[in-house]
This record gives sequence, C-alpha cells and structure tokens, in this order.
Amino acid sequence: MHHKDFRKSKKGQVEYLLQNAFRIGFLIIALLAFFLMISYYINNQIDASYLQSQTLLNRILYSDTIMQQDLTTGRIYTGVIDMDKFSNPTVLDDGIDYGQYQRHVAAKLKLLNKEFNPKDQFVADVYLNKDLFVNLQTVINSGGTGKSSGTMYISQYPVTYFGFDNKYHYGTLVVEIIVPNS
Amino acid sequence: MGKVRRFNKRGQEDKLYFLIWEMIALAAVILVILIAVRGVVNGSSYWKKYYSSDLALMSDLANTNRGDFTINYALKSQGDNYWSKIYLISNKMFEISMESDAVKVYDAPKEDSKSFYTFPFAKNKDVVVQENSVISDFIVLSKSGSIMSIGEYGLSKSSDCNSMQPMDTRADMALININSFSTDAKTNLFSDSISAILKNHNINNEMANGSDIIMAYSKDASFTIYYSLDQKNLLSKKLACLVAREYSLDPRFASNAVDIKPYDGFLDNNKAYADYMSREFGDKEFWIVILLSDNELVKRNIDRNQFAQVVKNAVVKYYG
Repeated sequence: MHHKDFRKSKKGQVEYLLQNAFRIGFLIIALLAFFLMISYYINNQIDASYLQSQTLLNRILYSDTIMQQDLTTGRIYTGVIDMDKFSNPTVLDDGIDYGQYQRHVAAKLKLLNKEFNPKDQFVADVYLNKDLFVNLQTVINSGGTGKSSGTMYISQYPVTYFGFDNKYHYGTLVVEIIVPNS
Repeated sequence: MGKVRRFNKRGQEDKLYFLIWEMIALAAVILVILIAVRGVVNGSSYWKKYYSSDLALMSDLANTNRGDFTINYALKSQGDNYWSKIYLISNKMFEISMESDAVKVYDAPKEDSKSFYTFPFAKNKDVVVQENSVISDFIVLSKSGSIMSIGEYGLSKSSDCNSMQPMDTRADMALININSFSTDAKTNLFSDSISAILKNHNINNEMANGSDIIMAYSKDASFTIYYSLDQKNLLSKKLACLVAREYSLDPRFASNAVDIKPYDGFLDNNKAYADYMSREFGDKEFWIVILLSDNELVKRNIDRNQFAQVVKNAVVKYYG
C-alpha cells in the first residue's frame, strides 16, 4: 500500500491519533506539574504576626499608655506602671486605637504582685479589644485553627507600680497578645 | 513497509515535517512556560503586602515615642536589570497612601490599580496624621512634633535634630536645671521671660550647677545659636538644634532662618563677649548662646514672651 493512501485510510488515522494522544497527554501532565512546582515554590505569603505582636508590646511598654509620665518634661518612666491609668478598663483602647480595623490585634495585660508568697497575687488586668481577645482565646484554647483562630504570644516583665496603699511594689506584668490569622 | 519508507525520498520528507512540528511544539511549550513565569514575576501583590505591612508597623512604632524621627525608605528597585529587559518585566511603581489609621499600597497610579493592600496602625491620640499619597521609589516617613506624614525625599534640614543620648551619669544630670542670663541690656527682658517660663515648669531652680541659656545681642549679625563644646555627648548641640527648629517651625516667626555653630572662643568677633564668656562660663560645659540682632529685635520686633515660649518648648522636647 502506498503510504499516502495509508495516511488517508481510517486505520492510519487511528494509529496517528493514538500516538499523538499519548504524547499530548504526557505534555499536558508535564506542564501542569511544572506550573504546580512554580506556584508551590514561590513564596507569596508574608507572616508578620510575630512582628505585629512585638510592635504592640513596644507600644505598651515604652509609651505613656500605662507607664508613668512626668507631665512637665514628658519623660516616660518605662517599667513604672501608673495605677491611675491601669485601673481604667479602656486605657489601652483609648491609647492604642486601631480605628476601624479592630480585628487587627488583641491583648490582655495582667499585673501580679511579686512580693506575695508563695504565689504571685493578682492585682489588676486590662484589655485591648476585649471582645476579640476573649473570642480568639476560646478558639485557641479549644485547638481551633484556620482563619477564625489566631496566634497567642505570652511574655512577662518585672515592673514597679505605685499601689493604692501609697507604696511602691515589685510586680510582674504578664502580656498576652493574640494576632488573628489572616 | 517502514523500512521501505526510510529509503525513499518521500519518507525522508515526512521525517523532516515531523521534526519541524516537534520543534514548533517544543517552542510553544517553552513560550507557555516563560509566559507563566513572567506572569508570576510581574505580579505585584507580594510587594504590596510587604510595603504596606512594613510601613504600617513603622508608623505604629512612631506613635510610641514622643520624640521626632525621620525614616528614609528606599523601595526595592525592580525591572531594571539585564534579565528583566530580556523577559520584558516591567518596572513596578507603587502609590503609597498614608491614612489616619492605615497604610495602603496600590499599583501606580491608584486609579488604575486592580487591587490594593491595607495594613492598619494604631494612632496615638496626640498625633495628627497628614493623609497623603506618594508615587516614588524613595519615600520619607517622618514624625515631627505631633504631625506624622509621608512624602518624597527632600525634607527640610530643620526638620530633625539628631538624637544625642547622654553617655554617663554626669551627662545625664546636665541640662536638668537651666538658668538664663543676658550679656547686655538689649536682651535682658528676653532672658527674664525665659527664666520665668522655665521656673513655672520647674526647669529653672537657679542652682549653681545648672546649665545656661545666654542671650546676647549683635547689631547686624545673622540670628545664630552657639553651643558649648561638650563634644563627647553633644547635649548642648541638641538643645541648640531644638531651639532653632522650634523657632523656624513656629508660624509666628515666619520661618526665619537660624544658624547653629559650635562656640570657638569668639562670639560675633567681639572681644568683650569673648572675655565675658571665658570669665563666666569657661568652667561650664553645657550652655548655649542665642545671638539676636536688630533684625529680630527692631525690624521684626519679636515678642519676648513668645520667644520664651519657643525656648521652653525646645527644653521640654529635649527630654522627649
């Protein structure tokens, strides 16, 4: 049989189709694998949650939000808690205002008296975005993950505070910060 | 049959066609891959996320401190190298918008941007954010007094005074008590006003070991503030800079220029002044001399109480 006639015959077309179908199929699989590898290895995500928590921590520790401040010079005494401020439950929301973006971060500050033995004694606590903190803390404690959960960062610092008994006390400031997952 | 085809001319022609089609298919695959990679590289979402979070977190920290600061922020240069030219990767420009509670980053111009990223920051209640948008690969984020703003490179020189920190305990004690003197009758009242306002703020306790703000007069010298050569800590230089800055930023004084110079033993080339300074302040380390001329005292007729307010503001900011 002449080869020209063979290509025109139905048998020849089927043979060509089978050969090319395998080739094209393999090519599609290889291309898909390549695209998947590109998208897998390209990092397009930025996780700034730890940085967010540290930024908020710095705002709390080094600003005049809860720390004592000399009103004449404006100097802030880092590590000395002003109890007049700390006893105000909205002090953090007033001083660290995220405006319309309230789902950005939440925090709880807990002040303990270090002089009380055998265990530190609770003095006071104050929240930033209390509703968000309570909700996310519940989800985190129950092992929830994903976008409805968050990451909690806990740290503690030795502080001094002027108690309502008009005496300075040594204390521990426990800072719990929750950054919602994005 | 195949063996027969390989030896005739028509069979060789078929093989050539087959190779050509294979090459075309290969070229098509490479082209598709390059287009896909170029699409990923040309995507701007990563950088929009990066710049919005980076700038917003810095803005957040700017609201912590009472002091002033300036950050010169260079955006990563993209699309301007050998490979980017070969692959036709465009140079990405972003429009960065500072709002009262967030930084937003768009593809420039904002109107043509398909998407944008927002990262919030917490504003201090005493800080006013000047809302502004900038298209540049070099931006300046600054907080001066209670004003926070974003702009292109080119802040005025008077906008920032170097933050000079005390190095030891002795230096830490300097400039806590500030006395004000005058070298002559022309500036006596200025000196009295400064003393009074500092006393009201418990900064002037008339202590012997205090630091000094000395008012001096020259008929036609330019307005200059000299600072003592405490070069180890540069505390006097910082105070001189703050006074000059507060003065030039005060709208009541219409941005009058002020020179700042280290004191080199001469004041306006006046020997009487030099002797006076040597006699009265030779042993002291921390002081500044504010030299006013007829331009300020007569022509501009500067109010001494307003000027004292400027000095007081500078002293208060010294501690910021």
